[in-house]
Amino acid sequence: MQTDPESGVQKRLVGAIEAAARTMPLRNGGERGLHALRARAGKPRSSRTFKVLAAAAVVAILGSGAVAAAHELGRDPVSDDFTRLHPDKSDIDDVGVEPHALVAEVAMPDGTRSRLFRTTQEGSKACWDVQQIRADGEQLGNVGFCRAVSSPSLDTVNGVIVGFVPGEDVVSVRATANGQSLDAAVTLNSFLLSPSVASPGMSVTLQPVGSAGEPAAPVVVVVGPT
Amino acid sequence: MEPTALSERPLYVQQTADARVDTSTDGEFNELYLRSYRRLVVVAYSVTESVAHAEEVVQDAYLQLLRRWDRVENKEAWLRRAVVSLATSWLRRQIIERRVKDATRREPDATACVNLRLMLTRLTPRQRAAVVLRYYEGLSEREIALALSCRAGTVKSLLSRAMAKLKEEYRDADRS
Repeated sequence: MQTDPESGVQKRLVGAIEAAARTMPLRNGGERGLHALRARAGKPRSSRTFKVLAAAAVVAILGSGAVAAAHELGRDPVSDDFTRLHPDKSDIDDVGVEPHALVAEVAMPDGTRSRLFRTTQEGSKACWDVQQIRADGEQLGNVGFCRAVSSPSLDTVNGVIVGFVPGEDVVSVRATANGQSLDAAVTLNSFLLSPSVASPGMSVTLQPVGSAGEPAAPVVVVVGPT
Repeated sequence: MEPTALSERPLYVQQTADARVDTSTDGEFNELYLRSYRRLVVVAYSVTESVAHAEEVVQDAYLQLLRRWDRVENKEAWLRRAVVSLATSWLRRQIIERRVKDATRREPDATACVNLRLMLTRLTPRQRAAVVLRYYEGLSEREIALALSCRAGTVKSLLSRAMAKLKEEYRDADRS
């Protein structure tokens, strides 16, 4: 009897998927995974009140030059830019899904990981969010910021350096400081550098590289403070 | 070269404070987790080709769901969509970092997982996700479209091309 080739393929496919599903070695399946997830979820998250205080602290540090920002931040802990890019502010905590994208991740010697998310909407400004996750998966906190996306930048955020390089088709960047160079992958024009590469106030030369391997003109950027 | 000065500063900070996830959803959430975790890992695996990263993606998706529990109506559909989105995002980053091959080679998967990976190797990540959602999860084209954030017509095309590739592969394998 002739078998329909399509159903034969489907049968094999389903058999292979089910076999893989049955034998998949899961670390977080069942009660143990649920417990670990609950532990992560149970960790305190941000509060509006805290954001207001943090914003006020930022404003205090910035001084009179940030009066306009102070007004905005006083009215709402999130700036107008951020509000525009995040119509639903509760999405600030759900940075893994649109309109955010996970763009970079670095691991520290102690096992702590920093993950960088960026808003995906096109425009003159974008927002980034740095999550810190302990080796055991516990989330330690987030720091976010928004800035214009016109010129290269390096900001120290939550213990790592968040970089931005403008231009289409940039896939990596070579960062040089103190005679040492490091290549970092670039996604959505953003990248992360370990704090061992440079420190706030230091000048770093950034050389973006396109997908065909062609280097663009280098620029010098001063690492912004925390 | 003139140094470029910073023009702006961080605008908000999120750290530990008083907002916790509502625990009144415990029973329903736990039941959903225990019932759907493995199936979602399979969906994520079809994109990441790495069990460890698939689990990471699925855990992140559950965490996000927990935090917006009351606002999500169809929780399973939301989870599938988040899983595909997070897995695709992870894969995109890996491809850019040119580490995909190394990462998958490092991981000691079960034989059946390796078999599945080999079987789907000629498909694109979205085709892989589409066939797993269709033939393993048993979703309709409309439901797959929701999970993949695309139109039903695109799903039809993804499935048809994927099945054509698989048939071709089996024909070649049978001949040899």
